[in-house]
Amino acid sequence: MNQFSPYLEKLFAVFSQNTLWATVKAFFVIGLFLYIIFAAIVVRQVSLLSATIGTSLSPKLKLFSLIHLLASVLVFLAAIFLV
Amino acid sequence: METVVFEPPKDAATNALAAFARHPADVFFETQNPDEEVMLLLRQHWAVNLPWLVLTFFAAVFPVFYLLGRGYGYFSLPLPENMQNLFVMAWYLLACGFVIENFLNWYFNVYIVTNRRVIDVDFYGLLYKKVTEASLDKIQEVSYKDPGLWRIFFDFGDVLIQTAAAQVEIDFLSVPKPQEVVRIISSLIHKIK
Repeated sequence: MNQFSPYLEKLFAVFSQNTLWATVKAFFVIGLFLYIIFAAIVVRQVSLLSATIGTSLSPKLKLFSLIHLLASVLVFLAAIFLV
Repeated sequence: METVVFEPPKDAATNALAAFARHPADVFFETQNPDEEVMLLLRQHWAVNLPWLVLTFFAAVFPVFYLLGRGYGYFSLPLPENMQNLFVMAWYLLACGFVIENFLNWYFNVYIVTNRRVIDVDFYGLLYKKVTEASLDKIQEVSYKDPGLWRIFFDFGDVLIQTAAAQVEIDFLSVPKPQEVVRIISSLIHKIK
């Protein structure tokens, strides 16, 4: 124990807390990036399935899948820039 | 093969979410011939969607209770506030993906009866699709089963279609009014043979 110990402990605490949040954020960003890929596949899937079975709801489903893709991109950007 | 032509009834189905639609309006399929008419479009009974709908309800209200609890100071996750908000957004995004996948799985798994054939369109997961079809004149036997209280209560069951080719058997699973489906297919078969 020396006179610098309390400062070092405090510095270490701040460092570990920041590392923890940075790790949590990294997991969020990676997860949300994978989710964007999933949302893009859903858009393609809706398009292919609508070609297989066309109904009056098909255009609305395509639009909804695009909105879902857009929402996933926005949440991804929020994870990067706002957190 | 002689094609049977029917006049669409006045009560032709217009509900795009119907699980049992006679002469559905605005419905076409990939391999449809110009002179082929969709007589019946079937999906699984809406009751099969109840488990994921209930799960979705709880997934939707859970963050509301959390945010209310946090607002009144009852409890809070040991995370910075903006990270908690991100967590809520990501939660709803995942819930949305869950709903979309389950809905698409229900909506595009269809059974079609035309004036020439029966078609079973199955799609599994994200990227696998299987289409099975049989001409009406190749169908040997049509039967149905609706075992269980749940199915009898909601009037849905499985329609089993056996064709001349032994390896091709088309099953319409958990469709509404199975006895009506059997009656319609049998009537079409008798008219075509």
